Amino acid sequence: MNLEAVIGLEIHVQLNTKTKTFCSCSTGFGAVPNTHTCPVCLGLPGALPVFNRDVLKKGVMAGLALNCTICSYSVFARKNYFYPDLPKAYQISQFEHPLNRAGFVRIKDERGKERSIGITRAHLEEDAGKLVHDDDPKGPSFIDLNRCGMPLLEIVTEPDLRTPDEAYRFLVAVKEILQYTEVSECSMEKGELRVDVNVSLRETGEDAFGVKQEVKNLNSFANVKRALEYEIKRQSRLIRSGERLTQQTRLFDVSKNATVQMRTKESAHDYRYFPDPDLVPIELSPQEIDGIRETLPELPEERRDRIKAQYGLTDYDVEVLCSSHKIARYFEDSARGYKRPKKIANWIHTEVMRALNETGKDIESFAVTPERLRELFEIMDGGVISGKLAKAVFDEMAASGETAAEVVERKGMRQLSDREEIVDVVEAVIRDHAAVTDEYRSGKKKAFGFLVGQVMKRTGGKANPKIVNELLKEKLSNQPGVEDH
Amino acid sequence: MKIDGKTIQWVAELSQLYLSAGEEAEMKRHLVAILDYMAILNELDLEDVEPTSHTLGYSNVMRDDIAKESFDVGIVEDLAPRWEKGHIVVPRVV
Repeated sequence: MNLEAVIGLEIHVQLNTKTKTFCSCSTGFGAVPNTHTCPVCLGLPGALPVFNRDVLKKGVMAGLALNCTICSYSVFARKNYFYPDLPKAYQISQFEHPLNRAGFVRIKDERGKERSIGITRAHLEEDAGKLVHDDDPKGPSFIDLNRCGMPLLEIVTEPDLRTPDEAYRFLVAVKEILQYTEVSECSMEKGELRVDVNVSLRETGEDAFGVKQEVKNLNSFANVKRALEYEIKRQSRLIRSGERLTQQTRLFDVSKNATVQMRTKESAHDYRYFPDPDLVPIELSPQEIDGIRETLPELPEERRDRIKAQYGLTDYDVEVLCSSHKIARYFEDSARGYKRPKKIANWIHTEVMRALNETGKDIESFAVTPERLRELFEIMDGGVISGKLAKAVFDEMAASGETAAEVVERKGMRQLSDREEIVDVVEAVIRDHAAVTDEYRSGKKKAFGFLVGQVMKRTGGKANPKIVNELLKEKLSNQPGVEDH
Repeated sequence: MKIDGKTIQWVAELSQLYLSAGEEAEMKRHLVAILDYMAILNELDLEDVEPTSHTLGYSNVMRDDIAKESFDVGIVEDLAPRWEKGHIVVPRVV
């Protein structure tokens, strides 16, 4: 029996507005618990929700970036269920009339083949509060309602994914699109992107689906992959041993690297959706949708193609530079008006990446701004410092927040280009290494490198290498024997 | 729609209500009465009528994304059935 997996995802993304979906409470992260609350998000009797226009705008932007059809008419519905993190006992969501339908995202599979993954819908809804459970398993649960009412976009895919790796690639692509369009930071640490997966197995080539299992609350893409790998193994073992699967909701247990069944009661839902009478429908004209389309920034695929062509870079350069929209922007800002962008690209994926890793900093808060990086290159090109010294200058800039010129001045790192000064050192080296000098003169050309190294050592790496080469050659060929001063 | 004991128990479970046998019978009586009334409305011929989800005739009522002052946390504390370490406390749910 040859089994294949059928995978669909539900992705919840927090849209980065300043205030909640239906009230004016702040969405700021890390506030004192329960301080971002008001009658609307606490569900107090008589409180009425008013929709945030930026949530709509960002929802449409995300829909357009995910190649969806934006619906001209959409309606909020109440999804009814009882849980302590939901004070109204219903979540405002969209059901029959979602904002976005029928989109797709293109990815490359393991073999580099292009695949189009369908998006069924991407609708707006509000988040629930956060529950924290006491360490004592018999202890109570604590509720923080700051998250209650935060704006979410729920992206539901078609069952188009076939392997855990494909699911991973798809998530990376979606995250990149949402970050490029700046509708969400997608910080997994802050819980701004959460994934539920649906997975079933069937005999390869069959059209009918097997019995699906849902795995909830996966907080990293790596865990999505692990949970899927585990589920595929578990389900195939059950199917091969002739057992019948029942539809289940499961949780991924990171410590066991396994999925475990949630209590069956949790899955006994019947949400009794109905249109929310407190909220009016949303109507969008083609002109309004086009207006939002015009504000869309360049999307990852387009940007990769353009950067490659415009700056004459390799696929590898582009892959590294466009791994995040912030790095891509840093590169373009640095390369602006600079004639050798490839040099800057190389520097970013070696020196800048290393410095960011070492300092644990985000590129946006990095002390070496794009303008400062370009200035460093200009100083290097002007012969003030050598490429080797430039690395040291760069490290200083990253640590102290100074400009390249300031570092060069303070540390006296200016390249030594004064022939008079260098000539003295060259002569001293020749004098002190008579044996090596003789070897060179008798044809051992390798000895030359040693002599250059000695000159550089004595000048603290500051001598202009070109001048050192010239002078050494001159002194070694023109004057047989060690000159006596 | 027929309302039987099973329906009552299902709706009670969804609502997280624990009903005694007497209360179940009472609820059944109420729900049957409500649905009987709905059955009268169902006799109307609504073939050509669009479903009404809103009676106001408005759309796109929205506000700007500007933060306003939230509750003083003391108010939330007063509203909470139990309060500890800045959180609302409820019986354990998992």
